[in-house]
Amino acid sequence: MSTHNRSPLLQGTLDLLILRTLASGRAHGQGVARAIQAASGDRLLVDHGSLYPALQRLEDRGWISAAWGSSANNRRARFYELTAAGRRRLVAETREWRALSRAIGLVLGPEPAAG
Amino acid sequence: MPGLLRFLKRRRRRDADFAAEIAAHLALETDRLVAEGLQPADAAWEARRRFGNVGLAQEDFHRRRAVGWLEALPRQLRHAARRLARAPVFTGAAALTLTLGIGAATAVFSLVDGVLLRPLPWSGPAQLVDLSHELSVQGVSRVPQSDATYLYYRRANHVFSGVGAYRTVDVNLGAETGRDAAGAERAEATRASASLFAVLGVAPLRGRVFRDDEDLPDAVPVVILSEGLWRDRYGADPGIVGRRVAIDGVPHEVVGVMPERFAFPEAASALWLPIGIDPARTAPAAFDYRAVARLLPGVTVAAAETDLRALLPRVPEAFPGRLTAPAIRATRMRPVVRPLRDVMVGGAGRALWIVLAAAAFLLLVACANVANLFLVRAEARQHEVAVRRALGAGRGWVVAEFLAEGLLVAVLGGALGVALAVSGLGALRLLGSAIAIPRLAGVGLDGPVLVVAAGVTVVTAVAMSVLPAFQAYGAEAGAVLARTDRRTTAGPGRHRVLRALVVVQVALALVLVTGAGLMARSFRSLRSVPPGFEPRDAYAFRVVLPTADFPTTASTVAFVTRALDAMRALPGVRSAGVVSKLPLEEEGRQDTAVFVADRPPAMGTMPVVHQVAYASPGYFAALGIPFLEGAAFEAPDVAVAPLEVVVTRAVARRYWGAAPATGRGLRLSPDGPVFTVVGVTGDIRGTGLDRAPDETVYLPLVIAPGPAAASGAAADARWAPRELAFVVRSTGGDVIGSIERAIRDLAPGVPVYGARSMSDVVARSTARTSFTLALLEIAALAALAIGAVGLYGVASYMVSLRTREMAVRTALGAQPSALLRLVMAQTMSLAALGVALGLGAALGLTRFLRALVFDVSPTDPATLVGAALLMTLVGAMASWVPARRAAAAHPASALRGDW
Repeated sequence: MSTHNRSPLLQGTLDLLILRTLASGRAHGQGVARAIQAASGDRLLVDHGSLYPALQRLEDRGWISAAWGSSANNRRARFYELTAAGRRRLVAETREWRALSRAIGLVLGPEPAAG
Repeated sequence: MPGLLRFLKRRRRRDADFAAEIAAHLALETDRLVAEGLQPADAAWEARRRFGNVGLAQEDFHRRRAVGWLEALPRQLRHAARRLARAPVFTGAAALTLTLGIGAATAVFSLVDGVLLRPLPWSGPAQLVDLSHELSVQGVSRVPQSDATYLYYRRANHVFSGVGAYRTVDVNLGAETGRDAAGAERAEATRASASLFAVLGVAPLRGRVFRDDEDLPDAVPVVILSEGLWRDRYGADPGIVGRRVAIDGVPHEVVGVMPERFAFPEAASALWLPIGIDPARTAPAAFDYRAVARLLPGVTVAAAETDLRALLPRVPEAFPGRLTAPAIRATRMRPVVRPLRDVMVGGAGRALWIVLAAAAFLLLVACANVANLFLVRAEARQHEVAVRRALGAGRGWVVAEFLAEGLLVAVLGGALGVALAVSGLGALRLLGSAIAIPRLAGVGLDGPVLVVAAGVTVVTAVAMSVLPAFQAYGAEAGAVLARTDRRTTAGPGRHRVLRALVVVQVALALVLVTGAGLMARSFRSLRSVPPGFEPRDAYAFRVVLPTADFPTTASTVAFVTRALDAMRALPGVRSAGVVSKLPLEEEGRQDTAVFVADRPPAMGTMPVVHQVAYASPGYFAALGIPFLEGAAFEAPDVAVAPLEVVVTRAVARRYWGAAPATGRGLRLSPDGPVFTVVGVTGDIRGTGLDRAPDETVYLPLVIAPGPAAASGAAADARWAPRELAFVVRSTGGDVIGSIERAIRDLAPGVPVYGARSMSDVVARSTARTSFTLALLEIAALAALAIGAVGLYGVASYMVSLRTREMAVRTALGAQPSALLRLVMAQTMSLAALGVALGLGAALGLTRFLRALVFDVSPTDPATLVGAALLMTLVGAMASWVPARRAAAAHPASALRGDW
């Protein structure tokens, strides 16, 4: 397994990624982790140990809601869903993130040709 | 609100649920890894490896879920207790201060609650009202009801669901058949209409209440006993109903027992007799009855009054008699409806509210003082708090820490305070009826009082610890840490709160001192009023001569003469006499219109009403009442009923001014015989030391039928009162025991009661003033002490902060006296500000004392100045000690010191 080309998540980005993942439908924790990994082309590695506290935190804030249900292969799992507040939060955070990354891109300058 | 909802939801999710979710995750991950081709055992291990530390995640969840401070509270309290135990002086001072404050507030509140706030013990007490009349006649301003007014109001009103009448009488409870005759005793009885029981709405414990037909005077004699009398005298006999008991020598059938709580009209009411009113034979102008009514739902006191005012003019028509329409107009008589509670509490209410205000002030002073102690402590801990903050302690943590300390100190103070209140109330109950506060028996530390005490404690704790906590936390951590020493002198702004609290303490203490000073002055002037008799060495007791044992006037007079002779023969007795009413007591009081013989009243005016009392000549000597003119009557003799009276100076002045009064004539009814004035006594303040002198007409003990006719005596009989007070002057010792024995030897069946020294009677008449004074004095002294300690503490603290500065000044050549002045000036400016504010507050507040003070203005300048001087003096003393310490600072030691 080639882990050397995977990046750990930047501090504070996990919440945004969870919200974004849940925007396309309800999912359980493990599914969220998998989806993030898959959507990033396996580049982003979600630390499972910090995923659940993060989910709990978002739930506490009312951005996502949770309920126990059955997974595709019939295992019990806790499914998460984006709330209206979570959706608004996602929009705001996405805008913020884009502005930030654009700013960082400006500071860093144009990407040098792949060498 | 959404925050709270989320909070509650979060609380609901359990640790186990979170663990189950992690287990589910591991299972799902294992499934996927198996699908990717791993062996199940390897897949499970890999899933676990990828998850990382399961325990850490669960702990994180647990910490987030818990209400941090709530779970940390026991620990916080434990730590706070340890910190407080390490500072015993601080803890002791703070707890003791609060003990005083909370104790005073609790004790006084329980008084106010028991006497003023708690509902009366009868059903629907808010609807109960007292009915009386106000009138504008010289000598009387309020009369209750006559049988006629009661009957008419009861019949014709539109505002009450019921009206009951009653009057209190004292009766002799005779010995039971087959029992020792010494069992005779005197009891407080109430003649009550059958309707009274329905109005008050209390069911009997046993038997029944009166029936309406028993209101008539010739009904079969029946009696209702109080639970207390039933238990004490009749051993709670279950067969009491139907039994016969002798009352004033007449057998009465017991028909019922009223429960303890009924206690109407007062706690001492032992039994109830039928009222004995005959609608066919009324005395409309004899206001011998009191009436209680229950308002119909929705009727106000004012509406009831309006209704009765329309009814009064029609009473003469319905019940012809001496209460005539012109008399009602001439006296401007008008019905008055007052809530029963106000009537029962009477004048004690205002005194209690003022004492409660004083207690609240004391509590405020105590709180301010303890808050100051906490502030100083917070200052000292500022460095430590800053360090903790730098290490990540949140604001909540710091506040919780101070709150825990505050709570512990307050609970300690609160518990001690409640204990103090209990002992204080115990002492108060020992004083008992002497302080003339009604309903005192019901006062105690019960639910509502303890709730208030606990509330006061918690509010106190929060008030005095949150401010310092924010003060400690609010300081910029970096700045505090950078200030690694206390080399700098504190800036003027830094202790603003500290100073403000000291000023408040001084101001509040001054208000209390002023109040206590006013009460002290007024008490002194009250006690310096000459009562008009010599209470020292005078003793009195009352007897009632039952008709059964003394059927004729001759036998009562013979008994009185024999009793007086026997008493005079006793060693240690100087003189003895007998009278129907003692000064400064209400028992036996009679008021009668007086007509001056040489001055017939103008048409349409009412004669002046005066007190009358029957007296033997020895009475004046025994009580030490001086004669200004003439002398007393001859010794009572049933053969002679002299038409003579003795009047007090106030009566003589009213009618004859400075001219001699002896030889003038008075009538007690417009067409009655003329009584000649044979003597004039000095002024007697028999209603109250703070009242105008009594206008009393003394009649001889045996009188001719004229004035007696109204009392029902046969026209040809001599008449003498049967309810009498014996008064004895001793040569110096207490002779009560021997004179009571002398009476008992003469007539074993006559109950002797109410024995007291006349000094006690005088003290009792000023008891409420002295009680208020004592409580205000205690509050003022405590406030003064706490204020002084507060001033001292703050001055000491300021000095300790400036020790280095002082040392530098000394090194630079400052004189110790200059330093002393410097520190004193700083503290005294605070004291002066407090005194100024306090004087302003006192000027505004002491007017509430107006009803309590006597012969002194509520804004008496001498008292205000005195209180201000006292406060300033105490402030000076409190700042002197720390100032001396500052001035004595040795330059070398201070500069060398490890600061």
